[in-house]
Amino acid sequence: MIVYGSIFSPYCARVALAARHKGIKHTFAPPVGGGYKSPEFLKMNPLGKVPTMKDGKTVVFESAVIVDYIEAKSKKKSLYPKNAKDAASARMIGAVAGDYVHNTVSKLFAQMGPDRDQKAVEAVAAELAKYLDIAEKVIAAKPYAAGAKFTIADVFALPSLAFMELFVPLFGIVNPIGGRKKLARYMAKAKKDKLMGGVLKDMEDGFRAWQKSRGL
Amino acid sequence: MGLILYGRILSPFLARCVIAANAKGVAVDVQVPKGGIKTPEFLKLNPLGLMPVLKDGRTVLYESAAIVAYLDAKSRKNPLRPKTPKAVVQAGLPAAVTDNYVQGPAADLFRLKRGTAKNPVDPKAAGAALMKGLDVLEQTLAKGKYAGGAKISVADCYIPPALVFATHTAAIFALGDIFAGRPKLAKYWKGIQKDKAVKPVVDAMNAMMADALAGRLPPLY
Repeated sequence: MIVYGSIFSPYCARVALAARHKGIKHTFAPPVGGGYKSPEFLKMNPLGKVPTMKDGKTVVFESAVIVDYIEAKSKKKSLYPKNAKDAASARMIGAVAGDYVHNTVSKLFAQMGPDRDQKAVEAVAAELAKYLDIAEKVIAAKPYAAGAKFTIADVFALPSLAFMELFVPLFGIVNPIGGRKKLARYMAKAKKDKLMGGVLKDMEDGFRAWQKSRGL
Repeated sequence: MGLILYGRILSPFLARCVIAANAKGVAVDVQVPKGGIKTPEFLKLNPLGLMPVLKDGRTVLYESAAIVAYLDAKSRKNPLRPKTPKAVVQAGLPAAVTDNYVQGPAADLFRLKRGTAKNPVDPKAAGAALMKGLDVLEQTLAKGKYAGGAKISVADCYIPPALVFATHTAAIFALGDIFAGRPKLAKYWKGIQKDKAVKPVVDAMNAMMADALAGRLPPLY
């Protein structure tokens, strides 16, 4: 399985977490055709986005769909709790700590240039604090996001929280998790977890290389 | 006690849950929360202050994807998530494309017209994004009656509410016929509106959309 993209993108890290958990061999690769907007790449994914996955003749894009594809590929080590309520809760936790957090953090990409709007950065910081408060409420951190087992909640939550911790300090937002105890415990445990810690390390390495290449 | 969905059918996120419930043969009662979705009482149910919220006895859930998955597990009728990798993608892709690239720009245009946009909306950019999203949706649709092929799936919960928004906003902002040059989408829209699970939802949304655009329906937020 080839995954086009870089692992420090939270969307790509979701795929890495799911595939490593399920024991599915995969390699990350730069885009075919030399770029994500090249005709070759756009033929695979008309949106020109990462991650895009190729498994034999099957091409899949959108991280959530790739994760579902990986889940369906083998029945072992399901990402979903068996009980319907627990499975729905895991999705919910993943949405809050994953999507809402990252959608907010990614607004900072518009503030990377020299003409940074400090007011806009502060607005993002305030919005992020609001979503982190809600994530703190819903995350189980026992030690995984939805409870005692690694689930779809971790696949969504961990990459967003990890990217946030790497990215927002560049904008003067220091220690975004702050005194939120469950989130802090979750991240501390994740670093020691073989699967999650491995992905965190790879995300950080990828991020630092990107940061250096951009002179940030 | 039956299932309650808090919110209003005009919310595409709530509408997709109602289509799912209809397909599953699960009865849900849609209730408009008193005072809207930003009251302390509602924020207790969903701290995000968004609709829909599902209440099933003591179980409270928010986020439409979680609610649809929960409803899917409630009955054996019409499984909405296929099992094989190929079928998972065929249903999941048009659903994700709708969620991430069609619903957003259509809703932006709707809020712009209604005067409820929180952030500035550039109608040209939103219109172009909507057309691009519809192009990708056209490419990902299956050829069968349903978006994922021969059977109803999660994609058929997501797409029709987004198309209600897309058809109304395209007319208002003179974006042209959204089905022109998109034959699969045109055929899909014609067929899916006759589906038992979808029709009542699309009809109710269309009626409410007219009220909202005429200023007769104050927002819940």
